[in-house]
Amino acid sequence: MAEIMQQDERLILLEALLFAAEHPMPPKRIIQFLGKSAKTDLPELVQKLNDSLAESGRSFRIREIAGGYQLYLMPTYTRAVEGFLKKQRERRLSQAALETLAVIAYKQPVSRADIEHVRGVNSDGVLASLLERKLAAIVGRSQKVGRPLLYGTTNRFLEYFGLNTLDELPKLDELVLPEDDTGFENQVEMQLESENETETPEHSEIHAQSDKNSFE
Amino acid sequence: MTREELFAIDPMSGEESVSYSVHLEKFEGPLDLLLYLIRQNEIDIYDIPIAKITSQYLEYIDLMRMLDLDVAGEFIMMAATLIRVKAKLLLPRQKDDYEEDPREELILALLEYKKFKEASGILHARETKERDILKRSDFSIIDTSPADAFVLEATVFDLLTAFKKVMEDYSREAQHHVKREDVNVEEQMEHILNMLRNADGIEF
Repeated sequence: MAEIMQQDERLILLEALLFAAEHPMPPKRIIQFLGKSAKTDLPELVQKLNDSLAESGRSFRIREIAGGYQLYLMPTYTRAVEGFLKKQRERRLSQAALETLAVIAYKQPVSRADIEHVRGVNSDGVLASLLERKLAAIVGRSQKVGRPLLYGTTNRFLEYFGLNTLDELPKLDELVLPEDDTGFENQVEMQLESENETETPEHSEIHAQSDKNSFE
Repeated sequence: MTREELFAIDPMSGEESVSYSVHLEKFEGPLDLLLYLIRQNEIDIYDIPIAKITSQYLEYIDLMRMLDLDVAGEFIMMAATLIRVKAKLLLPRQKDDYEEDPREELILALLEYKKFKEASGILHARETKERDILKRSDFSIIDTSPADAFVLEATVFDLLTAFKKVMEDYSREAQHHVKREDVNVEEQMEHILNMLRNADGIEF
């Protein structure tokens, strides 16, 4: 009985901590807060908290992202609270920015010359704007002639694209079907579909739950 | 998609203005344009009919010029590449020589670019999905991210760069020991004469 009490207490503490955090909270810091026992059962605690949030029909859940845990509002409620958003949301990324990021993400650490070689076009300006938005960062210098700067993606990149780790990006080779006629759009859709199939059960449960509680 | 759909030119609303707002399928670069032409013509990327593609490509660049768009240098360079490949294909080849297809380099570049363009599509889809998911940071009234970001995003590399700069400035300011050297004309005359004696010639 005492153990159960203790776990309930830790669940509340975990919720409080994630509520207070603006950015994804690394497991290390959560463990500091909850005590060493969380080292082994943190994923279990998160799962339990998510289950209880779903059971009581709450509007938010916890997810693992950019190597940490974060509270997020379920998409069903996005429209209801949009008015409270920061005045200016970040602009969407341009095609040039997405392409450049794709090269950086898959080839990192990568120099500007390598990026331009792949894209076949000057990428100076777009790279500068990615650095400014902290989606990419300088990660070192190459040993090659001229010791060019090398770029890589950031935690902010993971957060922005809803990734926990870079491994969650599809393998580059899997993206290309030789002789494909499906076209670009179809491929993206196919990719998303296969992603949905592998969705964790609790995630689909969230969707079901949120439908029940939608404002309409 | 037809060329007509490619360019939809809308006159701007202002009556006295002669400028146009031009909406066109935006190509990120010459490779993007080439991929578009290949798809439009339903061409096998591994067996590109260079003559056909080159003339369409050049047509497109003329069109860009006609519309007074800045044609970036990369587009011109690709035109030159296409013409070079076309010329190479026209040259007679030696029979027993395993010469590589002059198109190979171009095809490899196209395939490589295509991969990353598709990857950018994945990122785009994720971005769209992610924008629908709100986090607490999306609601902050006071945006603290620049200060935060500075603390969080600085890497060891940033630190090293800063340290190096400080050290450079420091050493530049401090150590200058200038010694006065005594030079007289006789010694220097002797020196030059010695050099001339021991060599066939001296370059100045």
